[in-house]
Amino acid sequence: MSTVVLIGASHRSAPLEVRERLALGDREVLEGLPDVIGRDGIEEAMLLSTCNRVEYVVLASDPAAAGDALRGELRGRADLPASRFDPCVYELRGAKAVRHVLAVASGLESMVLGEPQIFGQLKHAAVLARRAGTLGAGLDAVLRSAVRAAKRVRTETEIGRHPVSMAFAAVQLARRVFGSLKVRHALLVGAGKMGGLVAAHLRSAGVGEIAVVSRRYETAATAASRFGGVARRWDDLGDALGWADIVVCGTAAPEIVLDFETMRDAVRVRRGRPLLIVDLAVPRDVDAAVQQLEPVYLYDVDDLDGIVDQGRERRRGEIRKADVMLDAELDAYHRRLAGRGVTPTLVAMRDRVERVAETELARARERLGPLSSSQEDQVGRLVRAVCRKLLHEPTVHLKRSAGRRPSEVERLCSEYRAIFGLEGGDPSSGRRDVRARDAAEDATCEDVDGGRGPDSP
Amino acid sequence: MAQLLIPVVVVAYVTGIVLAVVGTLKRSGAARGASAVALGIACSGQLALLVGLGIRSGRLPFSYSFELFATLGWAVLLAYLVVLARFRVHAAGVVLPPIAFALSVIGFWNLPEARLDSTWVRPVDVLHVHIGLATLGMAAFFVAAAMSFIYVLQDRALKTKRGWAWVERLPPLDRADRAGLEAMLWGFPLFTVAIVLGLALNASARGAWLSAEAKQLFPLLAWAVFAGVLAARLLRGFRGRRAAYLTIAGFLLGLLTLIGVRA
Repeated sequence: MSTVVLIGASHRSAPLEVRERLALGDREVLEGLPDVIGRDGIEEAMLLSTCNRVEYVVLASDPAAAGDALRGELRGRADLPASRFDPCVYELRGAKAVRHVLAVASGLESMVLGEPQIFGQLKHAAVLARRAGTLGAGLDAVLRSAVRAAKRVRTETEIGRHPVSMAFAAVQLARRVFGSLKVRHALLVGAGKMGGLVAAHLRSAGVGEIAVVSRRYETAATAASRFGGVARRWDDLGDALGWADIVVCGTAAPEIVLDFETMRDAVRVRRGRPLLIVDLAVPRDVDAAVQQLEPVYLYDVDDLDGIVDQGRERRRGEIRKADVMLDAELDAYHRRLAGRGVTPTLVAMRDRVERVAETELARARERLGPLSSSQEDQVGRLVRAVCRKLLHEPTVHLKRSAGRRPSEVERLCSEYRAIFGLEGGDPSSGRRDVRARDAAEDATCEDVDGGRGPDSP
Repeated sequence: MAQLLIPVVVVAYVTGIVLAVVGTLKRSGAARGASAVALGIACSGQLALLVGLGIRSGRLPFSYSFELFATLGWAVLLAYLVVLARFRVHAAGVVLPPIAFALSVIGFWNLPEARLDSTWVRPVDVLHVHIGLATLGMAAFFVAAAMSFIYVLQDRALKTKRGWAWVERLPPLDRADRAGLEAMLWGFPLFTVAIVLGLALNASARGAWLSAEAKQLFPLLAWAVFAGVLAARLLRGFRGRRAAYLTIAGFLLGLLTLIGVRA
């Protein structure tokens, strides 16, 4: 029986200089994956390659050989001595490997706990494997479980909800004040890196328009072009403050840029519309007294840091809940896997019984002569009902036993196949077997009773 | 019919309120949706009860304070459902439906059967129109006050940078503000017409426009507060915490009207 094997390195096990040697682009993945199949019992393969992890997920009939082969392949790619390389790589098999895939998909293994990008990256890896022709039913079942687990963790826990970066915290604040950001305007004061990051997050969150104002217009224009914004002149700052709903300050100025009087004038022009100011600068760009203005909400780096710390704590608090969900999904995966093992036997049993029923119905029609349509219908129903009732207990028993050890399930299926006479032959020969067996039974009865069957008077 | 409807309405109310609380605390979309459905059933059922009450008594169910409570409860629930549909302010489900339920229970519980046959007022009367409009206006002010309350809570949390956890469950600040404004814009004209009719009725019955009764003074004060808030808001952009506090004050003044209504 094939086993899921996972081997790779992540930010937890390997430093960046090792991970970057292992990382592959899409083209290399597409070219490399087919070479992995067939070697050392590897039947299916997928490669997840991101900035924080490189992991092979394979289905192999010989897990030990497959693990060795892939470890060798990774070592070759890293081109590092074993003493440096080996501690960076981990290998998981069976249920542990599947559980790890579920945890990765749910963001529990990510550098930023609960981050959603990894889900898309895993799906992308599956697309590449499918395109390379190396993804089969086995790994597909694992990935489906991963998708289910990730969706459950995302919707039923708060693991992805709380901000874990200042930029995310700024966007969350904006949503707290305005709700949808679709018709809102953001103003970047200064063209610093952090401000740009917040602007990018706001753009992703759907903010309406972004303007950048800087002492040098060219700097503002360059920054604005990065996220589809517009540049405004420094002299327009007063107007811009009246226009914007969200102001992100991040200049390198040593003194206050937005003083109390400037903001008071801006608030007057705004006619009571709320204003969120995120001051990312150190030293601060915005006078702390601005916080007293109504309705202005001023957050500096310390405030954002506090929100981020809270967010991290709350995400960590959700880990246990997420773990329970992953365990439940892993159980469901195993049940589905085992269920697939009994399905062919169940189908064969039903098929056999239906063929016997058809045969006996045909024989009964020959003896009874033509029946009216109502009689035909009744007889048909009777036969089908008998078949259903006879099959019910064996079906339930087999399905319930699907969760047992694979060897037990195989033995049970084998016994049922023997009981129902399902061993060997194709369906057509199965019918001849039925008639041959029936003929033998009839002959035996006549011989015993001198030509009369057991039910004859 | 009432015997059948009352338990249905009560169960629908309780179910809707519980689901609203669960939906807000757990941020469950399914619970919120189910809550809206349950409260919609409660609203429809309660309307049927009020219509039945009117048919049995041969008049609009506004003549007595308990009928007024029951009608006000229904109107508050209706106003909540409207603002929920417009602004998705689910957290208000923790506040408004329980108030609507409490008002309705007070009303229906205390409804004296003997008065159902009273012919104290004619079936349709200017007084009924006055009371009906005032009730609808007050229901809208209930919503405005609830939204203002939510606004104040959000504003405090954002200003003090504390209570981050529960703030997330409240509607965004701006949305609460807009929902409150819209409720006021609906309620104010209804309330104004009700006030004018009330003054005219008083003049007709007592020969004077105004009298020193609670049921006249408080609504006038409430009207004045709302008029001031709306004018300042629409003409001068008066918003924020102070506007919210004044809205709540106006609503409380209007609520005191119920003290003076005939029992």
